[in-house]
Amino acid sequence: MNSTPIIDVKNVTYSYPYAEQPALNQISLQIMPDQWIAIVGHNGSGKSTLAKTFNGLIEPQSGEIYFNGELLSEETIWDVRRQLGIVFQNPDNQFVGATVADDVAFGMENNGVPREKMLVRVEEALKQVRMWDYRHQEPARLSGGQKQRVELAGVLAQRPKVIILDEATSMLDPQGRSEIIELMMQLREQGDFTIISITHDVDEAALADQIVLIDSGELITQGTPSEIFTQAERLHEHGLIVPLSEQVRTDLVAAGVGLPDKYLDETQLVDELWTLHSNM
Amino acid sequence: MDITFEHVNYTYQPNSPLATLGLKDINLKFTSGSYVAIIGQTGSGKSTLLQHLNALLRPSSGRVLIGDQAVMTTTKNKELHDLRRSVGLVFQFPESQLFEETVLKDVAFAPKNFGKSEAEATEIARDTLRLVGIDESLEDKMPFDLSGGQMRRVAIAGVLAMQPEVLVLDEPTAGLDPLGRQQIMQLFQRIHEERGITIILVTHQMDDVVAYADQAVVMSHGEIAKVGTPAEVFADLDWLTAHNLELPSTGRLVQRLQQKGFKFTRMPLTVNELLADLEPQLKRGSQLG
Ligand SMILES: Nc1ncnc2c1ncn2[C@@H]1O[C@H](COP(=O)(O)OP(=O)(O)OP(=O)(O)O)[C@@H](O)[C@H]1O
Ligand SMILES: Nc1ncnc2c1ncn2[C@@H]1O[C@H](COP(=O)(O)OP(=O)(O)O)[C@@H](O)[C@H]1O
Ligand SMILES: [Mg+2]
Ligand SMILES: [Mg+2]
Repeated sequence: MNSTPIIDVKNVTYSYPYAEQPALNQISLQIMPDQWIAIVGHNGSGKSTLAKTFNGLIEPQSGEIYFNGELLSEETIWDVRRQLGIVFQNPDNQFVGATVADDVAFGMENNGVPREKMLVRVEEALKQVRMWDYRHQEPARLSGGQKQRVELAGVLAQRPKVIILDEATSMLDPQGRSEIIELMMQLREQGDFTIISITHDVDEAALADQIVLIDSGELITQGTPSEIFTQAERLHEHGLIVPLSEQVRTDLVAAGVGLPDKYLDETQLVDELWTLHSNM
Repeated sequence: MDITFEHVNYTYQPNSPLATLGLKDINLKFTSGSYVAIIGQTGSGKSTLLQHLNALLRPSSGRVLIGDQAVMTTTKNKELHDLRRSVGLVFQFPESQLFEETVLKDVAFAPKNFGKSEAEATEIARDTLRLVGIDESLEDKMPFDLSGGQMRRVAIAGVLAMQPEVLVLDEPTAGLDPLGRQQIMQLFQRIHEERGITIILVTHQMDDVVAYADQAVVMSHGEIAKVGTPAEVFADLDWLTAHNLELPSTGRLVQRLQQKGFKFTRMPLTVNELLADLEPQLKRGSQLG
C-alpha cells in the first residue's frame, strides 16, 4: 500500500486582500490516494479557497502543500496541474471555446497533448457526460445542468489523477446526478484516481470514504461517514444536517424503538427495522 | 396578478442551423397567490419558461398574459417596465445579476430605482440582507469576492428588495448549505403567506416540491408533461423515472421498506408521515428487553 498522501496540507493560512478574517486558518489535512473524500461546510467556510490552494491558484501566506510528496512551488506547479483537475462551482463564466468540443479540448491544448489524441479524448469525455450530441453548440447557450456536464468533460479529458468536484452536480436533475456519481465510481475502480467532492448534498457525502468538515477556514473534524453523521448537534452548529436515515433512526429511538446506537445507512436501517417488524 | 401562457412556442436562434427548440405549445395558468414548482430533466425548458414570466424572452408565437399585459413577439420593451417591477426573477446563475461595487449597493439598487430615497433604500437593503443570512461584515465587499453560496444569497436579497408581486426562482438553493437551504425556503414560504405573493420555483429538490408547492409542473423536451398536486405527480414511480425524476427522499426510503415487506396504505411524503405509518408496525424497544 502506498502511504504517501496524494495531498498533504501543512499549516496553511490564507487571507484574501483586505479581508478581516483569514479564509484558511492554520489548516492541516491529509488526503490518501484513491480515496473518495467529501469536503463539507457552510457557505463561506473556506472549501473553494482550500481547493484552489491544491493547484496553486491561490498561494498561501504561510504553510505548505505537498502533492504526492512533492512540495508545491513554481517549478512543480505545472506538473501538478496536469494531474489535478478542478471542476469549478458555477460554470457560467468559465467557457473559453467557441463550441462545446473546443472548450473541452482547451485544457489539453494547454497541456500540450497532440491533436490526434486530443480528438479521441474529447469524444470520450463528452460521451461520458452524455453531451456528445451538443459538441457543435456554443457553451453559453446551454442550460445550467448542461454547462456543468461540459465543465466536467473538460476536466475528465485531461485524465487527472485527482479530480476536485466543487459542487459540480448542483444543477443536474436527480438521475443526472446519480449518473455522474456512478461515473466517478467507475473511474475509481479503474485505479489511480482520487476524488475530492465539495458538496452540500449529504447523501453524496455519505458515499465518501472520509468526510472533512471545515468551518472558518479551520478543520473541525475528519472521519468516516458513520463517525461524522452520529454527531448531529455538531453538524447543526456548523450549518449542516444528517442524512434522512440518521434522522429517522434518532426519531425512532426517541420514540422507544430498539435500534442500534450508531449511524446506519439506508440499507442497514431498513434491515434493522425488518428485524423489529411486528404484524400486529 | 395571474400569468397565463397561451399556445406559447419558443425557438432559440430561429432560421439557423443551430435552431433549438425551447418551448412547444405551452398552455398554463399561474394563479395569483399560488406556489408552483417546475421540475424536469436538465435542458427540458424550465429556465426558458421562467424567462417568459417577466418577458425577458418573448414567445416566437402565442402569447403570455402577465396581469393585463399581453406579451407577444412584437411587444415593445417600453411597454414592459411596470411588469419587470412586479415580477422578480432570481436567475439560475446569481453572478449574472450582481453588478454594483458593494453588496449593500447592489441590494439597494432596486428600491432606489423604484423611487425610494437613498436612506430608505439602504435600510430595506440591510433588512433584506439579514433575512437571507448575510451579516454586516460582508456589506462593503465586492459581490464577486463572495463565496458561491454568499453570492446566491445576495442575488436573492436583490430581488426580494424589489418587493415583487410574483417571485420567480430558478434553482435558488443550488449551492446553499443545508441549513441555509431550509432557512431560505422558509423565508420564501413566509413571504408567500404574509404578503400573498405568487411563487414559481424551479428546483431539482423533490423534498422542497412536497414541502412547499401547491402545484407541480413537469417539463420534458420543451413541453408540459404533467401538471398536478405534488402527491399526484409523485404517485407514479415508473413515469418519474422515465422523466429523469425521483421520489422525495422519504418516498425513496418508503419504497425500500415496502420491498422488505412493510405496508403503507398511502405514500408518506414527509418524515412525520413516515414515522406515523411506520411506528405501529414495529415492536417497541421495551418489549425486547
Ligand atoms: N475572491 C475573493 N476575495 C475576497 N474574499 C473572498 C473571495 N472568495 C471568497 N472570499 C471569502 O473567503 C471566505 C471563504 O470563501 P470560499 O469561497 O472558500 O467558501 P466556500 O466554503 O467555498 O463557500 P460556498 O459553500 O458558499 O461555496 C468567505 O468569507 C468569502 O466571502
Ligand atoms: N441562449 C440559448 N441559446 C440557444 N439554446 C439555448 C439557450 N438557452 C438554452 N438553450 C437550449 O434550450 C433548451 C432548454 O434549456 P433551458 O430552458 O435552459 O433548460 P432547463 O432550465 O430546463 O435546464 C436546452 O436544449 C438548451 O440547450
Ligand atoms: Mg465554494
Ligand atoms: Mg435551467
